[in-house]
Amino acid sequence: MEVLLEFFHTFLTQFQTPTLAFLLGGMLAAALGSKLDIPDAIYRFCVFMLLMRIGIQGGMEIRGGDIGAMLLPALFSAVIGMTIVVLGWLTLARMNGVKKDDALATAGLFGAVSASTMAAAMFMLEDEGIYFEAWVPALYPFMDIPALVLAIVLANMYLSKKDGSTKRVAIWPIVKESLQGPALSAMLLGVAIGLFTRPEAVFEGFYDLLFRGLLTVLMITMGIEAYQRLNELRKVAHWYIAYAFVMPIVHGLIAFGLGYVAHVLVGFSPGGVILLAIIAASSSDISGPPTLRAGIPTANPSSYIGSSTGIGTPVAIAICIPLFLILGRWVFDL
Amino acid sequence: MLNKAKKVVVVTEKILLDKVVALAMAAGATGYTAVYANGQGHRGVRSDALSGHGGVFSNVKIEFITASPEVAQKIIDGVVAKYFGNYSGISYVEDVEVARPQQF
Repeated sequence: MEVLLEFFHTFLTQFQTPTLAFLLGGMLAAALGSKLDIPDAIYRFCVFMLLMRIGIQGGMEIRGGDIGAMLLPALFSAVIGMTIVVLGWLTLARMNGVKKDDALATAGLFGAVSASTMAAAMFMLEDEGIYFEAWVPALYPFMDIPALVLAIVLANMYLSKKDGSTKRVAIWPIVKESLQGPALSAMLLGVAIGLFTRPEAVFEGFYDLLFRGLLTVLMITMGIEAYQRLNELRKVAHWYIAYAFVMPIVHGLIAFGLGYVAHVLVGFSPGGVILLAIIAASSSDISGPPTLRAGIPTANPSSYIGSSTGIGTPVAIAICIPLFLILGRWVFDL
Repeated sequence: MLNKAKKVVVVTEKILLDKVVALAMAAGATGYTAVYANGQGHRGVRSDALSGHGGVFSNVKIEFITASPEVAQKIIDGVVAKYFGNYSGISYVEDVEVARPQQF
């Protein structure tokens, strides 16, 4: 009973955090038909700044840290990403009215990672004073790329079997395209800068300083986009809505479990476990869709973009962040 | 003074710009002009993330001018076969008269 009350209390407090408030505000504004819109260039700048900040901080911390401790979580991230795709194949793809390639594309997005959700989660953990290793965000490509690659490979295998053509899927171009995407590039660049140079002054004076504010602008954009994408879901099977609502929680729980194993085996921090769970719960909304559009052209974008941007990301931010925070507090006695 | 040529116009999703250009160049086009566009087809399907909002035009209109009707036909056939099954777009041909025909 007490746990339930605590859940609701944390939940409500989370609604008042700038992150969630701006996300919901954006959705509300769009719902009311407001013409409020954040210019595309500004949005892209925000993504760049956020990922640079995350990357530089990660790079600076890796400098002093223990790379070995990162290996097991990295392996688990890849496992989680691929498991999510397989789960989608076993569940969503079998539902009535759901095309298999659409389902795989959707599962691929849910296996991949949303930089904005990850940034929001980090912000929340820092606010709550929960420590996590600064290289945890660097687990992003380890989950993102295997998930996208597996989804594309499985979809192409399924489509080749269907029409009898044999087409070997080239994996390296997919990996390369993901690594070259603006979000990942910014983060990797930040890590390199943090690792090999001395960016402390510009980190504290600029990137770190602006992090919170820019995240809120990003959240408004995500909120507006989420509302607009909800319309697209009306055109596809209702199973997508169920999948997008329920699976982030399931994926997060799987990741929490594996994270706990890493905690026991290599001392992965509780904050890291929570963050890993939220990263797993997140679904890629910006960098994933173009990769899937190119990799699985027959898939209907309304299904996967609608599910991920319209429901997946809001659920991950509004429900999964508080949920895994509470779970983490309870399991690790924080 | 002015010479006849064909202008092939492909209006499609922005993400296809590089691919359509590559296809056309391989078919024999010597150049192209692209402008950002916005619009809607009979299905009204949006396919990009962040398309049509934030001041972003999500379509592109690409023009290829070629002196050879065969090249024009090749471009259209190629684009229709390769992309229009899975992406939105239209394609049409106009007759134009050009200056400096050696460029085409």
